[in-house]
Amino acid sequence: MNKLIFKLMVPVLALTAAVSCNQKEHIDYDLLSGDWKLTTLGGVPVEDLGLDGRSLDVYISFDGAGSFETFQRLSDSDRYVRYDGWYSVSGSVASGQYSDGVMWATDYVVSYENDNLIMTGGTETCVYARAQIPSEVRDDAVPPFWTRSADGETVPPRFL
Amino acid sequence: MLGCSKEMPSPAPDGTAGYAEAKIINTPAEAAEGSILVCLDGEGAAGALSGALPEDIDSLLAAYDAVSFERVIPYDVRHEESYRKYGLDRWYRVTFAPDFNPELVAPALARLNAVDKVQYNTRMKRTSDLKSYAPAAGMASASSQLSFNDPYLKDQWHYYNPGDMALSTNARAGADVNVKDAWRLTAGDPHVIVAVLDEGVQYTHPDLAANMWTNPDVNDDSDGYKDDLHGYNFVAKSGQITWDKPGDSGHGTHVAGTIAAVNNNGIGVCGIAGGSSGNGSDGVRIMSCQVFDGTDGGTTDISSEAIIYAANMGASILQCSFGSLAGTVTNDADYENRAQGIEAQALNYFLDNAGCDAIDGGIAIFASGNESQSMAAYPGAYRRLVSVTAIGCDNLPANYTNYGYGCDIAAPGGEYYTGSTYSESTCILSTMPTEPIDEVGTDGQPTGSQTVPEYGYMQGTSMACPHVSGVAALGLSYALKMGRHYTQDQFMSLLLTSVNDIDHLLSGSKRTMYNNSISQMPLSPFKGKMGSGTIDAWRLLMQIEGTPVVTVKVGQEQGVSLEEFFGGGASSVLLNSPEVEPLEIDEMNAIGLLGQPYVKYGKLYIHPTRIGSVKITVSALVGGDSENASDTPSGQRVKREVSIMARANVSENGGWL
Repeated sequence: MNKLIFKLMVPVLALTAAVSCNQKEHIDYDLLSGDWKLTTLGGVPVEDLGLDGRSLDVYISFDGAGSFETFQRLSDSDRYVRYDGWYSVSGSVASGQYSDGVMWATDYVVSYENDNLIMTGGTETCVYARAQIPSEVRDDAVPPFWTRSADGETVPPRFL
Repeated sequence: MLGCSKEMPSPAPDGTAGYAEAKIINTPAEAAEGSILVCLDGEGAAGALSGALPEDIDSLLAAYDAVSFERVIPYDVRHEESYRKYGLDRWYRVTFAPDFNPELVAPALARLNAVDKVQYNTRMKRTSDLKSYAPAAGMASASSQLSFNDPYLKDQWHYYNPGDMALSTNARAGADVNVKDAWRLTAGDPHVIVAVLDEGVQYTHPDLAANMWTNPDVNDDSDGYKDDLHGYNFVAKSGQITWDKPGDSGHGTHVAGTIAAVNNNGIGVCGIAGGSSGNGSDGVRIMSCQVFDGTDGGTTDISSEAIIYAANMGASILQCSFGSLAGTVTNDADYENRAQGIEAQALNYFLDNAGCDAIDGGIAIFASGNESQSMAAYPGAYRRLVSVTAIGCDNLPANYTNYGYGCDIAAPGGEYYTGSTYSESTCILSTMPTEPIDEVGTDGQPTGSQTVPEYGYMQGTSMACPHVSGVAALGLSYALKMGRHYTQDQFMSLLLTSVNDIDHLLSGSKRTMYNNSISQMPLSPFKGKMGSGTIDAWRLLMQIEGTPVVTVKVGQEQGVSLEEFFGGGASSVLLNSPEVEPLEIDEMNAIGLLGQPYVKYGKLYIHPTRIGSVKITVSALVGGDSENASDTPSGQRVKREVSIMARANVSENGGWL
């Protein structure tokens, strides 16, 4: 009897183990898809970042099929700057490239907690809540500010 | 340098000659005949106002057959208290016979107790050669890129220069004020008034009329100005503005057009802040403050009165394409502290009291002058004013431009000889008086030439100056649209850092008319001397749009480019006495700084150790090496607040992920 129970339990345990391995290794594109709004950066709420009277504000939209957009307000303007590009997910790691060819700053480990999307890049964790991107953010968004370089060509601003 | 030696009065028997001499605050170089200015002490001024002139003044005036003794700035009960703060209520103009030499009376006036200061009434010059040339049909081909339907816009390379070889084999793309994209955001706002101190502006010109300022209180003459509908003629002391007397050149009409010729009206040219509707509903307003009238005018008293009028009547920007010859006054201390001339005080009055809802105070913009001197002419060189140098369509210093100390910024002024070949289309195209005017030579006799009618090309720092005025006006228009408000200092900082670098081009030489022949003009003398860079309207609007957050990486020291804050010339501007205001402990802790950030070789060095954000104020000097007013024209400290966000991951293009 004990041997039977033991024999029965092993497959059950194996099954359980197999299920939890998949939850760690596979991110469902459907879960990643949708509109998200940044709530904290490294544990700091966005209201405490940004400039006088305006918090840092970032929206990301993943379409579930490999394209993304970001709408970010990293200034004291009312306008959002729109970036776009492609992303892919392998296991729990998301990586991406902007449409101007620049890669994402890093790959991100993606997870979920209480319906929040958590993207961790190295030592930094960003938490995003589900939120539909407001139409005025989409409609009034501008491309990244293009400056005139020393040789007269327009180039996007470069940050280290 | 011209006329630097002080006037030596004949010694008085009681040995007060030295003291009296010190009261004469400028030299007779370029002094107008027939008049002189005096600043009375408080008691003398009070007496004069009530009609009781001190007796010794009275008898001196009689001894020299003085014709009149009147306040330079007319009494106005609404502004008297303000005038008193600047001493403007104490300045009087003494007039004599028209050819009277003021040097004969200056020492005697200076010896009077009731006289605090004596100032020669300097005659200033328009900063162009006053010649104009007609546009040819069918030149450059940039029209498909441009948003307005004005037929001559394609020839205004100074607004948008794609580097068309048909314009010049030396034309360089980007040698313009970069206004094309700015026009998508704003093309003007009628609440922004630009006072054009110059020859009269032809307010009936079909391509200017709709953007002329109209005095809402023209029937209120209590300020002493009658019929001042579109401005005032301070030379003739009349509301009737004129622009076509012998000796006039169309200069005022030309500079007004660069600022606010009516855009999109199917005729003529464009103006930087000329609106977009075609009917004048959304351009800035031009106020004609006429200080030149034929061969008359241009003196200190006339310009001072016009400056006060402009402030009181609601102007935000003073556009002044004139000045003394460079070198006549050599530093700010001469000009303001020691001299305390009436014009300096009038300008301070404007800078402090003018403005609109977007700015507390006014902006005064001057041409740097055309003597190829390594110093700006005054008054433009004065630290609080903007002095503009000129570039050609090759993005290089024009062969006539002043440069160096006192020069704050560069803009297109045009150049006949960009390269070996004479050309007019490489000059600045704008509105001209609609009827030709007889030109008059320096001897006062007709030359036989006439100005070109309606639209024409001119060259000079006179033409560069209104480009900066126009961009400043566009910036204030955008500030109004965005609901932004600035102090005078803040807006000056924005304006002077909205530039593209020119220094990287200033080596070797360029072929042009130089030393009276076609030859190679060396460029390295201009390096670091053209001001902060060439004005860029798009940058200004972007700076007004919002202050960007610069993202830096946690855990390493890095040098951050401040181009967005100090313009494309950041590396050269920030070489000049850069400072970072020290951060408080809690600010340092916000991003875990172990040491204060600093600027080196044009970059901000910072080493955050934790995620967070903090604001830093960075400043540098423009237009001079020091803030000490007594050596040379002193520099203007421009400050920009930079917001730094520290995080672990920073992309190369500013994207969040």
